Amino acid sequence: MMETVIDIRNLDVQFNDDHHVLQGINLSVYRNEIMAIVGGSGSGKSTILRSMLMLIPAASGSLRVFGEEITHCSQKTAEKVRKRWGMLFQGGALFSSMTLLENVEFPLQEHTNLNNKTIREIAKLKISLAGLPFSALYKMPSELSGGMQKRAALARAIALDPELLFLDEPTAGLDPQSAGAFDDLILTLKESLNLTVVMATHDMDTLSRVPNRIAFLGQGQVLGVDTFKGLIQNKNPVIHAYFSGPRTERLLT
Amino acid sequence: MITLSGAWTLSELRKLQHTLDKLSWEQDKPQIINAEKITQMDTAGAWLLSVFITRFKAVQIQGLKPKQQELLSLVQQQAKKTHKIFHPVPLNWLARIGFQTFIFAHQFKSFLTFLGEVVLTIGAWIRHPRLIQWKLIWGTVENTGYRAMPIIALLSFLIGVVLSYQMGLQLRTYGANIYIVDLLGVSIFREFGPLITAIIIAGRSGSAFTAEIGTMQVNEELDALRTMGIAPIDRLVLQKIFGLLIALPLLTVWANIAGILGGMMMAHNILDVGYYAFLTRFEHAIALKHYVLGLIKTPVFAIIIACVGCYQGLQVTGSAESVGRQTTRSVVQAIFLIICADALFSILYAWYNV
Repeated sequence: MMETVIDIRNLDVQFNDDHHVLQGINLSVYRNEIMAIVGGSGSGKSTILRSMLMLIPAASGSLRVFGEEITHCSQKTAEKVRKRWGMLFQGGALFSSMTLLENVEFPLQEHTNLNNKTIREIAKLKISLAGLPFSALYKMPSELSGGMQKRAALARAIALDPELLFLDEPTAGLDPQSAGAFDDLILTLKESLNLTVVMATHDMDTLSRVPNRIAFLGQGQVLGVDTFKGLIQNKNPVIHAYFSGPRTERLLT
Repeated sequence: MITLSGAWTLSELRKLQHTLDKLSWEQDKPQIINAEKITQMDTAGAWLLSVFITRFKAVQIQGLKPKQQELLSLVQQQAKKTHKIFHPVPLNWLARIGFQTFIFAHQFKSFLTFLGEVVLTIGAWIRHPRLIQWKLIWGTVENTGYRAMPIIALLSFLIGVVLSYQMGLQLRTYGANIYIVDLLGVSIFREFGPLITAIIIAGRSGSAFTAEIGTMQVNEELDALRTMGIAPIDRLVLQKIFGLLIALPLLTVWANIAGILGGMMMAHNILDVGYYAFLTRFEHAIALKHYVLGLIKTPVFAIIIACVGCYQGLQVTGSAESVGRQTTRSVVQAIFLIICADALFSILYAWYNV
């Protein structure tokens, strides 16, 4: 039996009193798998990601991460859980007043009691793992290209050796070559660092290569959880419409 | 043989480092490391292990689980990558002075360019009056003028109270109570009214101009405007300059009223100068020229606030931090220039004996 890292049961999220963004979500993510969340725009992809990250409160239902109930939990539990995951935001969300190196050092400075030299070495290791050249160490985020910002944000996300990594649109805005390299990087890191990954993405190439399973979200509900091949053959009209565009058919031939 | 055990993870790293630092080994002999008892390992642990084994000339590691072995070689690979690091070199004092001078000269030049563009766009507006964005100008008047009225009234009133109290104490010792009217009228009309208003507006609206334009710069909204063939100066800057040119003199009039009222109340309370006596004296003692000389300064202050605010907004580059830095700079420079201009006006007025 595989260990469940994230366990969502009957989760409801609403923004205003009447408008349900997510309704009755059930989803499990197992250890050392890559779970992708897909769906059209406005289907609640970001919302489900943000509620897993405790950025949006749930209206009802249960959401367990590492076995801890996080919908209503103490500050202490929240802290403990937060130290065990990393998040890559869509735009990178690097701190603009810090250099690349300082950005990656920051979580280490905050959450460990290591000396500065060790922190620096570990940060450099992470930057190197994320595939960035050291010539960028002292650059400000605004001086980095889009692809480098993504890699820098990934380096920061894995700084604390998280067990769980969230990725929001990891390949959006990258050129096909960098996007492909980024996919490889995620796969490599997942294998070698024993990561569990939850990603929201639109990128068909990524979807066909990277995730073990894909959860399809539509109208605030999970319409199907399956492998890429399985989802393509799914008869649900919404899923069928999503995967039958010209871009997908190219991948299948 | 060295036996390693326990969890080699980030949270245990400090303890591990301590332990390793305390012990010493014969470094020349080939060593065998038994890693069978390592229960957990993450990249930080793998890094420590990779650093640890470089202490020995020859080393052989036994018992690593396949995943851990993989992790170790991944970390070792990263260490082998030959990276070029460019450490930023701190400049010596001479270079710093040169660098700052260069930046200052560059800023001065770009400010002149900015002013030139503003003047050219004003020229275009005069030639084609239908280009004038009246709606935006009234919007600026509302935001910087109308909405600032309560705070300006309150602060000017308090300044009037303070002035009246401080000067009244001195006047009372000479029994010259009624002269409080002269002192208050001249000082508020000529100096405090215009100056306090300008400084408050520099802090309130100048900073808002910078932050607004700067945030638009970060979001590429300015580039969007440019690609549509609309100059940011035309659409964003001029309306603020003209709006403030209208709002600031009006606010100063408002501040003068509130300041005199505050002074009058204090005079009534501590100097026994009645309201009627105060106003009668005011009519005779305060010449219209004081009022006018004060108001003449306000358009200049308005131009300083709007130009500095908008210019600093346009200087924002890319990041949120830059918005903050330029906003600070905008307020500091605007207040600095306002006080300089005020001093220049005093010299000028003294020169002409007015």
